[in-house]
Amino acid sequence: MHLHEAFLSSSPQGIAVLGGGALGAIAGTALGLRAMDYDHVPRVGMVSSAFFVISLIHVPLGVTSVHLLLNGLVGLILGWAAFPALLIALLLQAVLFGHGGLLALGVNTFAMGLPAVACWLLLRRAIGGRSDTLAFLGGCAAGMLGVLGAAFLAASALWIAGRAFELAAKAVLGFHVIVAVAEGLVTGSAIVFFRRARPELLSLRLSHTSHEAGGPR
Amino acid sequence: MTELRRVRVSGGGVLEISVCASPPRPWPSGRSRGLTGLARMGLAIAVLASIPAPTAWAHKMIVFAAVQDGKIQGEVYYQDGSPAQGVKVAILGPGGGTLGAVDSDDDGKFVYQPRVRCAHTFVADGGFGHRAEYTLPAAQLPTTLPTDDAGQPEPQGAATAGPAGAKHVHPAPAGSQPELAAEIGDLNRQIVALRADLEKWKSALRLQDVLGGVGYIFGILGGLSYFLRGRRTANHGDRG
Repeated sequence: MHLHEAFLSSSPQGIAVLGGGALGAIAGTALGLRAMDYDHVPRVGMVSSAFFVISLIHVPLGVTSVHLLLNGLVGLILGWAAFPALLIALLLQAVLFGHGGLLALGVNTFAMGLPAVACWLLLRRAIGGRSDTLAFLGGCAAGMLGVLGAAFLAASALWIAGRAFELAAKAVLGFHVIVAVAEGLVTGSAIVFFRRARPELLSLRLSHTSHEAGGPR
Repeated sequence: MTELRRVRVSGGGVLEISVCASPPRPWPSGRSRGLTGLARMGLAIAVLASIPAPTAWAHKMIVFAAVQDGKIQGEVYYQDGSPAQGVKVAILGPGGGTLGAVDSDDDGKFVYQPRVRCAHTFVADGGFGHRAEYTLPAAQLPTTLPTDDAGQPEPQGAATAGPAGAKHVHPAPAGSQPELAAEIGDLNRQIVALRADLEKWKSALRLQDVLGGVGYIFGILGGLSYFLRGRRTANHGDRG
């Protein structure tokens, strides 16, 4: 899933993509940090490190290898704070393992963070409702939306940088559909599990509006 | 509550020990909540991590090449050592011009017959996000190959800087001593295998790196929490 900086840094459009991605990541991280409280820090750390470890576990599939991304789940648990969580995890993957490279850190954070926040905005009501079935379906949708959204953004970045869109789109439609289904099932199960075991994880207070909405209690 | 227990010791004697057995103390209730909470969180992460069961630690693609028997033999593999099959490998000269292209076979291996003695850069493109590069310096190519003087003069100068020294390291085996030549060939194969192992070791994903990364994440967030400390009182003051 990580875009490699070498794919992007060779053309002017690619450098624009790198710059735009970096700006998007900075904006998202700033919004995330604004939404974060002292009390949220352990949760962000837990989710960030889980994301860091899980996306290092790879399943061989055909000629390539794929891995779970779980950015949908990260978004559902953290809301806007998904951006700083993903940024830290991706930074360490880039520094320790060379995944993507430091130049592409912004683009990669943006490509994974935007679908994560979109999942939270669209599906938080479904997973916060009374019905377990609805929560599971909401989790499934978040898992799929997270992966497919990230894959679509990554493919678009390659396309803007001058690569054949077919090649990128083939990767999106091929492998990532399978990943998206697996991801949907995992995210749905995780949401149902968290609702029972750690409901406060999904208390969904990590928003700009939360302070106004949840303030006088 | 004390009970006596008899234990036989090696000399044939019997040792009596008094054993204190106190009833198990219940966890203090406040602690208990936190611990089960952590245990559940740990369980959740373990469950999530174990879902992709037949997994391999991989991601980064790595390409490696070395000269053996006058040919460049290379390998493309993933971080866990599994071969990357059917990957297109472009071969670039020192100036960036294309010298050729090969595909990796089912074992991730490829063979390329060099025509010019210059630095060869192998760029493996496995598609989405998988990309690897390896440069084989000109000094490692056979001295029998022509150096491309007509080509790019500037990088060529840099690339041909090595051969003078390399001649001492790899003397061309004389045709009159076939045994010596065979021995040098054997030695060369072993060195290449060693270098490939070293390359794999360097790129392998190690557990301590993963654990270190997790530690860094908590460290960075711990630092961040210092700056967020004031925010707790600002936002939660009205609740508490």
